[in-house]
Amino acid sequence: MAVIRLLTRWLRRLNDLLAAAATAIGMAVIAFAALALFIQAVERHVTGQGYAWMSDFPPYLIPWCVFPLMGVLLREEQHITVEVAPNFLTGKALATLKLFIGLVCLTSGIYFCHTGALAVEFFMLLGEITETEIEIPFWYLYAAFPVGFGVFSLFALERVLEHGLELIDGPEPMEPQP
Amino acid sequence: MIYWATALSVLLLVLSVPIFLVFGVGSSLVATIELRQPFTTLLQVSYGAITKHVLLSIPLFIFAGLVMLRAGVAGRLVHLCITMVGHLPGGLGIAMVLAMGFFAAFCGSILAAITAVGSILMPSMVDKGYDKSFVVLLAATAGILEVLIPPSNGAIIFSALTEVPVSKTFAAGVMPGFVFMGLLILYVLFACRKMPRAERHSWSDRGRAALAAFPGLMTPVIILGGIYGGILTPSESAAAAAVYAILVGFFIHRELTFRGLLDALRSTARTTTVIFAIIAMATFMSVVLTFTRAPQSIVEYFIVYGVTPLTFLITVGVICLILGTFLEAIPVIYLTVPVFIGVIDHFQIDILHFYIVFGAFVALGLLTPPVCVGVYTAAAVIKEAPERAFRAVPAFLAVGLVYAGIMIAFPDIATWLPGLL
Repeated sequence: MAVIRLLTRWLRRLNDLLAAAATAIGMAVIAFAALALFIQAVERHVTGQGYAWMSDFPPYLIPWCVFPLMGVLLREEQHITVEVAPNFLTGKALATLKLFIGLVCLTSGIYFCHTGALAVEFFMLLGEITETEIEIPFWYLYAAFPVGFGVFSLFALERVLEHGLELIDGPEPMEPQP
Repeated sequence: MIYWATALSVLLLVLSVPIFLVFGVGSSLVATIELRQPFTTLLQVSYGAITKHVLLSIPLFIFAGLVMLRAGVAGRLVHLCITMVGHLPGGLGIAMVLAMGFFAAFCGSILAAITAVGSILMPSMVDKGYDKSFVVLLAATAGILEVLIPPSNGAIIFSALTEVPVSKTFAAGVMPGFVFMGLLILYVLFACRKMPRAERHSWSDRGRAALAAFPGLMTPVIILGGIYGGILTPSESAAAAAVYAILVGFFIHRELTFRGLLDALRSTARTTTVIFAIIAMATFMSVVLTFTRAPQSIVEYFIVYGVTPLTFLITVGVICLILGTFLEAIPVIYLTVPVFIGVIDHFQIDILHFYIVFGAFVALGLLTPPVCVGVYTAAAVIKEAPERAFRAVPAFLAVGLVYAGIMIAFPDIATWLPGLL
């Protein structure tokens, strides 16, 4: 049990770092998209010509905002769910349900990470590139999917361990506020 | 296999597994095992959906709205509305409807609109003796205006799914938005007819309030002027609105801080993830629908039973209301639009008319418990228990149904403005 607790603590720390990185990437993508599209539009109207890549790139970056952040939102329970079962459950039954949800997320996260990685490998072999002003291999974009679900699996594992420990030990005591 | 996957999806849905995973797991199982499609196909279709240029305007409009929220625009808008209509019976309620309408014209988020306008108006409405459940439901219902008045996330997603130009879906929402605002104002006037009235503001007060709110009021002009003037694409107009909001916040209102800007970026990235994760995985389902020819089967069903266009629209309404009771708007759109789209062609219903009727019922579904995030958000603003606020749902639902009936009966309300473009 002590090993699981230690593992959970280490996983939580790793996930904190991943959450900070994923959030920073997501924020950078949104900021870049807003600035690039604005500058491109202004430039087009002022000089009569614009850099096409400033318009083409932002949509391609969106997967790198979305997929890595899925795990962070799982931890914060911000994904859209249908809150039916949790309304009827309390205590251990609720903790068991949350453990089950964590296991579903973990299993599907690993499945999508694995199948996504195989698909990315396939696209790498194909060697397709985008039809944008600055050409980039398509697999760079597709890689966000397995990477995102890999990160998602780590957050799902954290949930599984936490809810598992909660079932064994009871709810974690609140940390005293400074 | 399809039945097993459907049963598994429903079970996971009821057990509160995130909806994007429910879409992804069920559809990918059917697509890869039953239909023998390679996962690369699913990935390509999914990426094709989330990297559509028009969808980029969703995060950018949300970002613009969140920056405006932190730039003090909402307070000035609310003050302007109060000076204009505060003296009428239920004046604060009417001001809320108008302010929500204005805010909807530059914000891409219902929740941001409810929080921004509601946190200013709702506490003072309660202080003035308005019923708490009425206040909560009014804020949540007025928040629905975001679905109708452009720029609307629903319109952008509908356009992305149906290939109808965003400029058309935006235009289709304008008149219905005004009709809904009018109905809500009439209901507020009726419900609050016995409440004491506030004093009428002087025209100089109104002028000062209009001047203070002027930079905020210019945002819809930039967005819609840019699109309909042929100057900007929808995503560019969203980017322009975001940059304009930053400039207003830093240099005109001077209420936006660097921390506030980062906070807006963080919230936008998260909301974008919630929406786009659903879009990415729901498109797996479109592969299943295409290969199983489900939409064609539904069209045949409607033909066999001699369903009329009116019956079809009412059926759409009932389905959306039921689904909306349990799901948020975006999953409902992705679940139903790909199926309905073939039927619309068969009945030769104007797609913009369908969009408005469909949107009306999806929006009404957002008011019905248990899944009514707008009601929960508004209730949290004044710390009211949502269960108590639900008392006012039937009255507002009735207003919404009257609105939906008008939209079914008079297609021109939706199609007239886009027809002029």
